[in-house]
Amino acid sequence: MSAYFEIKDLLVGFRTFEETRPVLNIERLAIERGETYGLVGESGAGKTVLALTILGLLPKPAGVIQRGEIWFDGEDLLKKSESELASLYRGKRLAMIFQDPMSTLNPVFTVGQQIERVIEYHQGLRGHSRTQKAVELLEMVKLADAKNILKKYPHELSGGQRQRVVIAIALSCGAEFLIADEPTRNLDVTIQAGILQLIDELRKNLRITVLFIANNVSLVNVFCKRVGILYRGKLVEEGPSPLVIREPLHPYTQTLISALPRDRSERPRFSGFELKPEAPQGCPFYSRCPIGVEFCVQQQPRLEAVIRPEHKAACFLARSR
Amino acid sequence: MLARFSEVYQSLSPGLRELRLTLYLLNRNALQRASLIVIAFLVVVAILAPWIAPYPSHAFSATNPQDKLLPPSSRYLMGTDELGRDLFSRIIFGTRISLQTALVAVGLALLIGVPLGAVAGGLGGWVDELIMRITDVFLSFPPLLLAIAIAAFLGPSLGNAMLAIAISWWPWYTRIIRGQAVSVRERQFVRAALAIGAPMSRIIFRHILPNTMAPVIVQASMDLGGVILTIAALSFLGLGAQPPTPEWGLLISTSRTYFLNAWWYSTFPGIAIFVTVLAFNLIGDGIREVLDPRTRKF
Repeated sequence: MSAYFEIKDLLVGFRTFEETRPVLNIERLAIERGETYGLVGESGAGKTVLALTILGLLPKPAGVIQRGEIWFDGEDLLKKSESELASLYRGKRLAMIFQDPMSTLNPVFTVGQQIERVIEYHQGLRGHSRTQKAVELLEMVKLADAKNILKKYPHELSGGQRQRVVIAIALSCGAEFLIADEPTRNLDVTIQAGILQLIDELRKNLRITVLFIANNVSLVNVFCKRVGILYRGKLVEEGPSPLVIREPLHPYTQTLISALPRDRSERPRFSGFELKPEAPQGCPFYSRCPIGVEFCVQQQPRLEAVIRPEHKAACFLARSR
Repeated sequence: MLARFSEVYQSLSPGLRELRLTLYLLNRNALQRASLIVIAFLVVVAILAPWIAPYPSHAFSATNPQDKLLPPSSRYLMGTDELGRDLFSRIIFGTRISLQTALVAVGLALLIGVPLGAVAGGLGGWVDELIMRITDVFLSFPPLLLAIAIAAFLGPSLGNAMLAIAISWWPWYTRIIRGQAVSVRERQFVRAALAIGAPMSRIIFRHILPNTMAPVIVQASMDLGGVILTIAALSFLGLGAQPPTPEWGLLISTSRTYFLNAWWYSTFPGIAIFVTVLAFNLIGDGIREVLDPRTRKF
């Protein structure tokens, strides 16, 4: 019995002249219905690649899915054809919010035209009922003066407003699984809070599941029930977010969390990485690991439960401390 | 003035607003204003030709041999031709023909070139390769020569001249659009449209194409002048309009014989061509300036 959403043994690579270079290698990642799962990783860790893989939008021909399964509500998405994905999944059941609300909307059309097009295309609504639905959607994302905003071009809106419009479009056709790829990047902190709150409210009200991608651990802590830490395409730690934040098991997570500024008296500690040679056969984090031992070079650690069954880490040394 | 304008401006629907702004900005530059007026004037003349022309029957087959090759006078404002027809009336009717043929030829070229360019740029891969190599073939002919060859092959007539021009002209639009489409395709909103379930065919025409139009609009408005010139050239060579059509190029062509003793015969059609082409070129430049927010001057 697989979970509502489950990634099994996924290997995604990017083709280069010499080889297909692995960029994402996930043994298992499961998300329960209605949950918010936070995925954290530095830039280049493979977060966006994961999101695009789920939607079947990996850039072609560079990106290749070498093996694996992505189960969504009893179906393997990787076995679906492009036309099935386009007509049955994207927009209707899966939706995605992109990083930069500045460029997610088409600059030559008004907000209204863009929302109404999607509604018309997926739900066949026309005329007045279509406009009505568009207004409702903008009200759903708490945009004041929805009727007026429909008439505006994207460049006439602020970043926060645009991201709300993007969310409205993403959820316009009843998607139940939302991938939010750093939705608050490039936004002010206050606006960030508003957007996060909105996504959380929508999750509760519309009973959707959210895969929340971020490069900031503290965002995830407030907002997600469980969190996974992605490093170089691999999950290195996973568990309930308070637990991961409070008692990080993996040295990478530990450095991430110790880098968070806490209060004024304490200066953030950027424990500088002491670079060691890469370990192609071993742990991906070895070259930057402050505690790595010789054994780490020889074998790749697997994501395994440490201390508590729900809290997992991929580190040989996690158990010993 | 500006305050009143912006008030009216706010109340318009978005599309109209943009058009209104473009016209307003074009109107502020003296040179562009002049060319706008010239073009508006030409359009009015073309539409009202039968009512404006003093001798509408002279435009086509009527002849009037006793008044042949008269210099400009109050009776014949621009003189008469070798068959005694009023040149003024013929030039007025010529406006109609020039504008019509230019619009049809450019329109036809856009109709072929724009979708092909959007598909090539939007899809990429072998489709792109195929379409662009075909345009390369067309572009490797000198443009006028290709038009001459096609017109000669199809037989000399105004319709065939338009077709010939469209066929030799579309690859330019394909190139412009394709170049734009390739860069627009990488923009985030295309990915976002895919993520919401829109198929690529829809994205190409609904999202990519509208974002590539600005340079083509500029190019096309400048080409209107070029096409008028080319049609005139084809007619001059005997491959376009046939007598007794009052086409400007054809008028100049027939005037060659009488050039030394009837200066008005080639001069007035020449001025008509010159003014029209200049107006379209200037307005094309103006549109380019106004459509690009960075060169807009408020």
